[in-house]
Amino acid sequence: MTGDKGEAGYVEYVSGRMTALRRTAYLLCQDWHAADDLVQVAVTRLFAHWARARRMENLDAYVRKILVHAFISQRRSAWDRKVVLAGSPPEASAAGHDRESALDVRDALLGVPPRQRATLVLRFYCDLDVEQAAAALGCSAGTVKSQTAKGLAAMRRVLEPTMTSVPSVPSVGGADRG
Amino acid sequence: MDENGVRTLLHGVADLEVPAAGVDLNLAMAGGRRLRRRRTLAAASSALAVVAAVAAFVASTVSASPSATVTPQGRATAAPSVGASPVPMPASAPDRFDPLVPYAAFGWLPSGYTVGGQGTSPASTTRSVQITAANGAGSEIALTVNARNACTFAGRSVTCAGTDGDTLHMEKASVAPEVNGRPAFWASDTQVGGYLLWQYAPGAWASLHVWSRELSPELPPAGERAMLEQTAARIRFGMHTPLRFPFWVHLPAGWTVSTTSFFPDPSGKAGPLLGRTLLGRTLLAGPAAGPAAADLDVWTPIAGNCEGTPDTALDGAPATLRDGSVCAENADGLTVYVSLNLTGPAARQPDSAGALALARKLHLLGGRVSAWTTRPLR
Repeated sequence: MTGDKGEAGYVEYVSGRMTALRRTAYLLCQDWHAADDLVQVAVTRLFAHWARARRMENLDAYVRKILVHAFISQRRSAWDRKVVLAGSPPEASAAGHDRESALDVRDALLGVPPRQRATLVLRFYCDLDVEQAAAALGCSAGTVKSQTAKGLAAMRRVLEPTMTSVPSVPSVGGADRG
Repeated sequence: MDENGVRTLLHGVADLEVPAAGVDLNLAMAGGRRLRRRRTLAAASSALAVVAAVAAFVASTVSASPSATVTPQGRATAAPSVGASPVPMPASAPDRFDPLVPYAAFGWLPSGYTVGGQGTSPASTTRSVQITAANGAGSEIALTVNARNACTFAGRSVTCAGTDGDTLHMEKASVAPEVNGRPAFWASDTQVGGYLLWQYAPGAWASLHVWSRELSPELPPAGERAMLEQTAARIRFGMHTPLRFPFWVHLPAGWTVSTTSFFPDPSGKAGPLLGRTLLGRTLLAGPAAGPAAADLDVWTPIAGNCEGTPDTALDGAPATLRDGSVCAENADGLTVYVSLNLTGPAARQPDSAGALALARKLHLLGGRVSAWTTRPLR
């Protein structure tokens, strides 16, 4: 980092990606406050490495990696062992069926261990292929495949009964391992 | 539900209306500068250690008698010497450590590994002591000694709680050979890989693992296991060597020290840490609600450590106020960095004036280690 030009570039980059970063973080955390805290951590680390990061060919991938690592590492801390209430309202406004569906999906994601959740978000929201997701997670392609399969199975266990009008399953927060 | 179904569901959730952003870029840049500064300090400390190591090596080569057993500064011997034989385990361990007196130390290290160099910075907290030795080729041996009752077991799951919410989760993989007669396990987590975990006193556990560029397998390879077992058997517990700091200060009533980071004195005699003067570099302190509220970082002068244009003075030296911190590169022969981050409603408001006031309370002791104190709080 050299001077304000670098800082201006950082602000421009992060401002342009803020919504995408927050959405990805929200899918990981299922809570907007936690998502913003996660993005705060990620962009802080990005600034610390900005001099090198700004020259990267795929800066978005680097930032995604920081975000996912921050998420997984926070899940390993006592910070995360708070109880998430199944009935808490979504912070974002949504109406009717969309809102109920969002709640169901949120509950389902909360039931997926963090590393598997991160894998699902990278694969199916960020649209990364197996190799790209492996790079972001710092693991092998085989691990991504197995984490994907386990994550999908975990989501099915929660969502498929809900989809057939069975009362929603209570969410499970923390105390999990990916 | 197939992959496309999940894709649709995830986009459905994420694409809902996004609330106003709660991310503060100014705060991020302030935190990023602190991280960069820490890296600079660690690198400078390493460079200092390397210079001293070369000097000590030359001195020992020139002056040592044929029977001398002095090895290059900070380097461990290739195999455990007679003086580094397995040590008795303590009969008990404290529930809380004194961060000013690191509780444990390596008693032996494999050839090429050094404590305090290569950017590693040992840390001592109320709940754990963490010391890393590096070999300069990308491999590190990390020791964590936890206070009594810091680790809890639930089936195969092991959780060790550190200071300030930092927690390590592992899964026991298999039984390891006893360490000096105490039970031991191979355990792993998803981030680092394999650990050697052993009980060094009733209710008190320590762990060792090898960091490298690649994620370690859950069970380290045989050679690495043997090295970890050998290293574990020679860890020293119940150490009494207090850290020496280049300052002392009166802190507000009720404030305690939560964390220190330190280095072995590079001009001291050889050995992983044992018998060496330990120099405190960073001291985190605060009230019970924010045990790391104040970051007092005082070290030998480091050019280029403070960013920005000086806008105030500390002990007559130019200093820079920025984002809740004050930084002076050469105040009484020392680099001084103080940041204040109190918890509560004002937590996100940088308090540069408070940091400066605290920095001005520091009694700086100059750059000569012989003048430093083991009582930084009075």
